[in-house]
Amino acid sequence: MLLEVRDLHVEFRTRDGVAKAVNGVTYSVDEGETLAVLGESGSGKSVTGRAILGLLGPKAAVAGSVRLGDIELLGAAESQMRRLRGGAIALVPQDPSTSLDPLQKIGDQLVEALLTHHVVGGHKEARARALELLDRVSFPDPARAARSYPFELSGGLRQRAAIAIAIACDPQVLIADEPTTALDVTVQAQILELFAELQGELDTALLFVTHDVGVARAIGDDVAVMYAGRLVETGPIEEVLAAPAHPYTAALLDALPRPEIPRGELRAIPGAPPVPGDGHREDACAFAPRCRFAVEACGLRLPPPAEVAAGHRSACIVIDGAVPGYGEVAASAPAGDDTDV
Amino acid sequence: MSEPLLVAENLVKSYGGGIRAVDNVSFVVNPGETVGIVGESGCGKSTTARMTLRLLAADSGRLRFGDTDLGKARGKGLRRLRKRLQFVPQNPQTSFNPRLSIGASIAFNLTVHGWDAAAAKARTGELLDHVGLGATYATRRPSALSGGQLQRAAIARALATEPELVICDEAVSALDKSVQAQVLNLLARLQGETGVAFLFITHDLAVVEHIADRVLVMNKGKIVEEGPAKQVWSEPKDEYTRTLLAASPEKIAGRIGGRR
Repeated sequence: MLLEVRDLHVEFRTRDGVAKAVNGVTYSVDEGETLAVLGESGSGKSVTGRAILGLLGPKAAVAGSVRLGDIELLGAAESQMRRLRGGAIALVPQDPSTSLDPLQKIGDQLVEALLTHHVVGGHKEARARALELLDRVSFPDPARAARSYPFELSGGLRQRAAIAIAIACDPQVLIADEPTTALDVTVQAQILELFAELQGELDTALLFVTHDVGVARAIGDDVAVMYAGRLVETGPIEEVLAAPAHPYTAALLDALPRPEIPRGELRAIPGAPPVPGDGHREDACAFAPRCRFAVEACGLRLPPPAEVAAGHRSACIVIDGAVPGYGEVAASAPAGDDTDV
Repeated sequence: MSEPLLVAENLVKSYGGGIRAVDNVSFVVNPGETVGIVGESGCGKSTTARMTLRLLAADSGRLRFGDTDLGKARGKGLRRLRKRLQFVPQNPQTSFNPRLSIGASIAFNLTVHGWDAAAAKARTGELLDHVGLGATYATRRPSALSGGQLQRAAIARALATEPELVICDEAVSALDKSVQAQVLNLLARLQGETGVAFLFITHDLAVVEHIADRVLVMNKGKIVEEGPAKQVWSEPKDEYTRTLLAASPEKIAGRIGGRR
């Protein structure tokens, strides 16, 4: 495996104490593979991506292991991380209007990335390569794009520019953090197609963080579903979405509006997802308070991830409607529209 | 069929540079109906909402609410109309005064329309109960509530004056999907109980298909298609509507990648 995240923990020290954002996350992505990391706000999906890149800053305590090939990234010297970031591991952030330098032309930003990582011989070669990259991400007029400032581009074109910078140094791993969330649906479709195309050509390991089930399905080979800082379900995306094993994944899919569901009868999940530092229990299943299948045992211990099919794991003690040692589990009545907020 | 509640005729709004943000838009909202306006950024849907709320003056066109000329209303007349025409904005974190309790913010929307303080307070408690929060939330600050809870409070505030029409501008867009369903169900229930009409502005096609009776599709300031939500969804007639529907991630999932 190219990128291996093992038992990753991230804690933030805040005024009110320690907030645990990521709690024992393990996953891996191989070259040419796309792992969609799916989660709601506060699930830890973005923090995990930033921890891999070593971008969390001094207020975060990070433990576990992140390996890129043979290199251990956690605890690596900042000088080494600086070489790797934008080189072997690149990031496409959510909002290109804040990630691009507003005072530098797009071409100059690309040249800077290329020269910093010594992937080109000199300035002239960097210029030529920058134009190639802008062409590669389908700018209709690369020379004009190179002369543009970020504010002169639309949101979709800015994201193309950010992708050009991310792939400038042939990264082995590309981390895309909600890169289409701020875009209109038609532009989102184009950017997703661009990611898929580039992925086919560059053979990178793509870690695609999203809150959108549809986007995850469009882009992912595998999916890692996160809830309250933990992985609740992982596996091949079509299989997980067609036959979710974890009650959270199932409930999330069930809550989406679909044409056949009458108005006002969406299968809502009661309550709200926990956020780090809100005092939710970390030694038991964090979804249990909202779960239709919850039994007493759910509050007693953490369910370890168990294999439900080849390559498909779920962290729930209820397996096929039964808890080992407890017997059959009946689902409680579906939640009403607005109980238990 | 009763008289339409809201009639917008040939609304036009241009911003600097002569760009027509809203270009000759006409539509009606009937009592108790949910009309969705769907489109991408810059299509003019939020500008249309703002003109309907009279937060923005139209360059030309007419707005009628009930039997009143909404476009020409001023001062006390406009305030009386606002009691009947309320708003739920996208971002509840910025729509509540952070220094006031939730209850004070809701009660303000009553006292401003002539309620006395004690009656407003009692009604605030009832409203919070009604949107599933419970009267105890009245004393909390906005910062102590989650996004979904705040949006319930914003709905309670909008319904306080027993309006005939509530304009919801991307009211569920910022919510997590597991919470969005609760709020959509709540809106449907409240409509059933009070008969309020909704003008529901959103970029989310699945949401508008679910919540709206009729939908208006906007592109570049114009309404390009109008019809029953289910029909627009299943048999889009306009080229742009088809493009929009085909771009949804669920639809492109089969087209891209090709590695599976």
